[in-house]
Amino acid sequence: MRYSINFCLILVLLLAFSACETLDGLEPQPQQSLSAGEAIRDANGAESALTGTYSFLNQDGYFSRMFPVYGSILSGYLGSTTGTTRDITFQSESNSVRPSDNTLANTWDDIYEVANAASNVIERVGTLSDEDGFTGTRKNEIIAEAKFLRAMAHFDALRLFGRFWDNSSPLGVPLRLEPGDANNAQLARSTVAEVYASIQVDLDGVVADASGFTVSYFASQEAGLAMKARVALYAQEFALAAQLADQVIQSGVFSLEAAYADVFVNRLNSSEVIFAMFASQTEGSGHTFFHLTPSSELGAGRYDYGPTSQYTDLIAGDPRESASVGVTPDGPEVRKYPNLTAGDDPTYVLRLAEMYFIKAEALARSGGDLTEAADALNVVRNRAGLEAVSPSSVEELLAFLQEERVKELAFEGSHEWFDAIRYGNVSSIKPTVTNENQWALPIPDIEVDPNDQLEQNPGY
Amino acid sequence: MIALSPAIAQQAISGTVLDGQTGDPLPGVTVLVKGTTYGVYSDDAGKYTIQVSPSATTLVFSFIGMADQEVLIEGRTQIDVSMVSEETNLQEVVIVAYGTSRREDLTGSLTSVSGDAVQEVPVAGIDQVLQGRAAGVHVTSANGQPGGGVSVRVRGPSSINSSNQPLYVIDGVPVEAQDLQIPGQFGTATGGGLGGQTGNSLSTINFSDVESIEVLKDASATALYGSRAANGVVLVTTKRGRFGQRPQFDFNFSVGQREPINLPDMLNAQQYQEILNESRTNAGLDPFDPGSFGDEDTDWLDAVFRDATVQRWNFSLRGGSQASRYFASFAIDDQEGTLDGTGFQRLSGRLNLDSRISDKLSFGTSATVSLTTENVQANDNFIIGPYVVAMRSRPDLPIRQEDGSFTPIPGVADNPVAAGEGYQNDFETLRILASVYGELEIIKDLRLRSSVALDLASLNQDQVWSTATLGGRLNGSGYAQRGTNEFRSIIWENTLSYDWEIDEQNRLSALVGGSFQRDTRDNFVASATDFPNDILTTFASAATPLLVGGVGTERALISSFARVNYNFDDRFIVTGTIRADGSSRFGENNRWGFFPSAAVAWRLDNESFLENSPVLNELKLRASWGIIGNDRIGRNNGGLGGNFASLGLYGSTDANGVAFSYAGAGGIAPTQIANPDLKWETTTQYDLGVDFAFWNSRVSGSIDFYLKDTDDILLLAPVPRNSGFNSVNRNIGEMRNQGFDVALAVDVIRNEDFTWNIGGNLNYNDNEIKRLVNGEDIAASGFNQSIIREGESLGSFFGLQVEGIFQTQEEINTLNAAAPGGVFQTAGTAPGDFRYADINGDGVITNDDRIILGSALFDFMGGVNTTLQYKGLTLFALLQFVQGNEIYNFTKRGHVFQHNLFNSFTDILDRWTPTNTDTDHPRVAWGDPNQNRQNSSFFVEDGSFARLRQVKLSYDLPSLLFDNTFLQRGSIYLVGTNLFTLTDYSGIDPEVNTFGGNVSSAQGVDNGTYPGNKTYALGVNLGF
Repeated sequence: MRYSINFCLILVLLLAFSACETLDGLEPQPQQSLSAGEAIRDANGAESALTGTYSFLNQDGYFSRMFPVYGSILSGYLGSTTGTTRDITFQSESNSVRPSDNTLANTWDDIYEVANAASNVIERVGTLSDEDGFTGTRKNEIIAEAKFLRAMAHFDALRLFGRFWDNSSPLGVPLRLEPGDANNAQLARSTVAEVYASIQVDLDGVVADASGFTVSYFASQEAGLAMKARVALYAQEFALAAQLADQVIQSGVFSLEAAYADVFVNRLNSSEVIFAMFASQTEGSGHTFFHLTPSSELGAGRYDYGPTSQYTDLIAGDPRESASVGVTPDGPEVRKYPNLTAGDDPTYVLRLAEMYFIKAEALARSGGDLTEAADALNVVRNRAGLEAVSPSSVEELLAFLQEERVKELAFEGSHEWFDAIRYGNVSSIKPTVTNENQWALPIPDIEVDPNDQLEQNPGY
Repeated sequence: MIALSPAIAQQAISGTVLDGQTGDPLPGVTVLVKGTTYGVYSDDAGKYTIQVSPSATTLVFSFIGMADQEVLIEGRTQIDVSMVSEETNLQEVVIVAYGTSRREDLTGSLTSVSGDAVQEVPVAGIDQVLQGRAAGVHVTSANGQPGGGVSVRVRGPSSINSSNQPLYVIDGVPVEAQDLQIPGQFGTATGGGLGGQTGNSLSTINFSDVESIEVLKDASATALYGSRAANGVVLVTTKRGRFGQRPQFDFNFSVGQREPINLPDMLNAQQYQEILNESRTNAGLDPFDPGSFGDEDTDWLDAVFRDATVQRWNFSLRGGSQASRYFASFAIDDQEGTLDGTGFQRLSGRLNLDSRISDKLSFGTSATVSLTTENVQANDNFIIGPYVVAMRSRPDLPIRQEDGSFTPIPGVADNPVAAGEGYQNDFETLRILASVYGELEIIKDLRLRSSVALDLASLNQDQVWSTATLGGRLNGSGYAQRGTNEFRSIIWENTLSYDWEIDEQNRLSALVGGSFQRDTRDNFVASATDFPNDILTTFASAATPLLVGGVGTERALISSFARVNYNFDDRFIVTGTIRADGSSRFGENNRWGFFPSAAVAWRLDNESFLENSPVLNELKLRASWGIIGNDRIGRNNGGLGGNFASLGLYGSTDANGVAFSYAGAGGIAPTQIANPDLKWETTTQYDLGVDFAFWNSRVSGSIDFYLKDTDDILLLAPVPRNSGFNSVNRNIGEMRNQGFDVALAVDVIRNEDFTWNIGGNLNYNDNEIKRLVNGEDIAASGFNQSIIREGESLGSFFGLQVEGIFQTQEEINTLNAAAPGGVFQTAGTAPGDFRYADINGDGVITNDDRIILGSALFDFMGGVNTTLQYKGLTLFALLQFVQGNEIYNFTKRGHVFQHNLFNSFTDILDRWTPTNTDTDHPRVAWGDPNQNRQNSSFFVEDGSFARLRQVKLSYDLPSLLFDNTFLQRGSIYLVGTNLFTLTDYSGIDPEVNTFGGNVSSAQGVDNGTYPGNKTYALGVNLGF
């Protein structure tokens, strides 16, 4: 009961015909939901809102299913099968994605839900004080975790929909840096440089304020460093990328699994997982069901897409083959998400192996020591059970690296596709890509139509 | 007797006051010298003596409940008077918003229905008795469920997503008339797991208590209700006693029988087998083996329908002393539905009291308590209810197998009899509607009135699916869902009114008032499964609890209002009103809405040039304008949402109920975008009317032309998704209703022994959607059969146009050859299939060829009634009609194609075959290769009908029968409802509304709707 008799009310009841301007004493509040002002008022509300932000990762358009497979299909390592039900698979396979596609719309939606929820946390928790029930530095940690999620969402949006490969391009993505409402939704695209800058500012906040690593499914200081290393690599700040990747490696918090296959057995508890999306039986992800074939010995899935010969030929004979791909009567299937009955396969966002790759690539591209770069690459190769390589040139090292990244990281985060763009050989990897316009996906109609400020990507 | 003030006596006048109706002396009548405050009361014998000065010219006799009488003294010392009850003068005084008005003084448009007219109709709710009786008021029962949902539209619908039901005000109290049923597990937002069926919280009111119903139609009449007035206002006034009336006891009993208006004719077992195999053969499949058919010939509909009984007992007592009066009633209604397992019971009591503490101060109360139980079955757009599965079940199988168990029916969820017997769903509602008022006359003619009212409705739902039903097997062993929904409204209203007779020619009355209302609603629901057997189904016996849910909501409304009515010489009357409503539902930038109205009337009959007309008794021209609102904004979500549509909200689940949890912890996240500008939907209404009476008022009536422009209609507007949201509720839409109402009454014969009168009403309404978000179509709920489109009327049907039936393969080949993909319709198209119109001419039939096929909204509707009275014998008949609307016969979709195992209507006997080519019905083909079942003009039928709504023959028993008994009067009657229907509609019943009254955009759809019923009843009234 939130009523109080106020002056206006008394006037009315005294029969005075009054034009009260406000209804101060008369504001029932919803019970099953909270008005935005009431929702985040203390530490409990802040924690709940942060949990809600994390929960948006586990959505079909984003980490629950689609984000890791877009790049795999766009780059040709994953393809349609007899079980394909969604049109987006065919569109991605032929690199002719349409802005009207519903799945693509969901992806945009889901990513920006994360960014918006994170901005709500950052802004509203920022107005609280440490005395509002927070223990220790928890208030700043919450803000830092939200910044990690917002930076990641903006980076993923940039990689799918923006010209992330061109620092001078005006075609970045909209930056959702304040809580969304009906009045600030007419948001134009920021430039690529602005998006990178904003992501780096957020990640600096993570590195400064986040707690040290405890579990892989919450953002930590180390996850901030690792993400910052990846972003620096994409932004072509190679010296910084090499230094940050090395910092994560040297932190000693993470270590490579002895066997590659153990990553997908230990999952969230794997010693090399820096950040992953949580999944459990009750908060299941969609990966396994859509990867496995109806005749898989791991259980009957829907087999919406399967590895192509481009992938199976590449991985054939590699020690990682059996952990990555399986053969069933319906065809080959991805095996990185094997727990069909439990549904608890996480989405691997950052693994230590990638830090070695980043260190290697960034050293090479920044004119660093080629041997040191090759050493970083060979750490991952050795773990896989392969011989060390000793490339004689930067080009040779990069060629090794790109292939190694596919073998190590395929189907985990669309790396195959973004790498092909970054390495400048996307058309030779995927012949249906004939035009640079195909490198960025179209921004979905559901954003473009109601947004007068937003420019569609060229070619759509 | 108390003298009101000391009189300086100069001359005494005395006399007797009698009750004009009974001839009894009337005590307690106020006798005043006009223009003074001198007065006395009549004594127990009705006698009075008053001292008057020589200058006094007139005495005024007044008594509550009776018409004031002014008598010229003209030098007399003995003046006897007969008082006439206001009730016998109902035409003269009508109830208006926050008061009463002389009928001649009205400037607005309203329709009055006398309570007498509706006393003995065997229906459940007040709203149903309005059917066919009030011009411009369209009342549709959604289906045959007794006590079920009713859709009422006053002058057309004015909203798209929000409620279009009028505001009901009972004895001055705005009451809850929404569906209170609880959203269920099976079927989400549209009622307690019942497909489209909805409840009707007005059926908790006993309509025998009703004295009169006034339907306020134009803005001048309704605008005093401000933000709730846009859908019209229905004022219900219940009976009260009379001061000085001796106790009068009335008893009514009736009993009757009820049967379905119509049931579909299904194929018998032999026809079924024949046509089923023809369908197999036509699709290139092997016919079913004759051995796979049973030898029965079961009439499944007969097995689940029955002749139902209807009973009613009503007792009432009314009377009064000098200082107080009372009306009390108690009634029992027990109505079985024609479908097994359906019914409606109501126990209701009422006590209305008024008391005069002094001549300045009075108080009173109106209170009713009722307990209703509605037993429902799953039907209507719900494929596992007994009616729907009875139509589907094949006739060659027996009801029970040899071992006594129910025969499983292939392809059907449940054996129909098992579906009915194994399902129980009772809604029990306790309703208390009580108000207390006090009225003080501060100075002469200045009255302060204050009232407090409580409207409480507490609903309990008990739903059990036995293991014999699909619903009972889905989750485990048996299923039970129980819940409560508790609605409470508290309303405090104060008014100050003043009647000022300025001089002989100028009269002014004014009213100011304020009102405060708070509504709360709390819901709780739980379900469980795995019961030990089908008898022990309490939650305590359940092994597995399923869901527990509950939500609550509240809202507040604070208002000020005023009305001024000025009458010049009984020739010109001007009314102005304004209301300011502050509602917690509106956004913070639009907290207060202002709703003005103005009206003028010109009484031509009082002009000198017409005053002495031998023909004309009344001729009044009226014009009004006003702005009114609809505050029932936001999607209702089973009556629980909608109160907070303007706020930015955080929730713990998404719209599909998926929790925002991560790593085992529950979270919260933004779920609704704020719109601080959100407000009511605004209707601007214009009305031009004429009231007339001729030839000794033998012919009387009124004609009104109206224009209702609604804007600010709430629609979901897309927002760019970078905001984290997909849409926002915005006041964007616009819609127009225009038309006219005509009401006419003719006294054909008016003799002492014989009277005959005819009444009628007619409404024409044209509805057009003028503006939607970016001009884009909105798909309406249901099966995509309706569409919301600019320039069309609400309720438009949408689909392909059937051009005819292919007679030869050559026709098909020619079209296929010309089609870009080589296929014009489908690869399976064959002679006997529908040929659809290629509207866009691209050579292929696609969704782009869909067009508007009709509208659920009528052009004309109305009613005709007649009463013939000869001495004690009275015959009454009421015919209702609706013209120009279409019905989407979705029920037909399942039963005229024989595309699967479901049984078919006998309409299928006229199917296309190579030897029966001149027909509208396509060939039968298993699997429907041509998709003859897709939405098309084949399913859109003319829904016009005329229905003999009611016939009643009653006989007043001669009074000599009652000599030497305690009885004073009595009558017997026979009443029949829905006896006869004239329609071209091929479905079961043209009065149909599968999605209930709340979904305005998908009206007029027939999908397995529980058919309406005919009722015959015999009754007796006794009084003493």
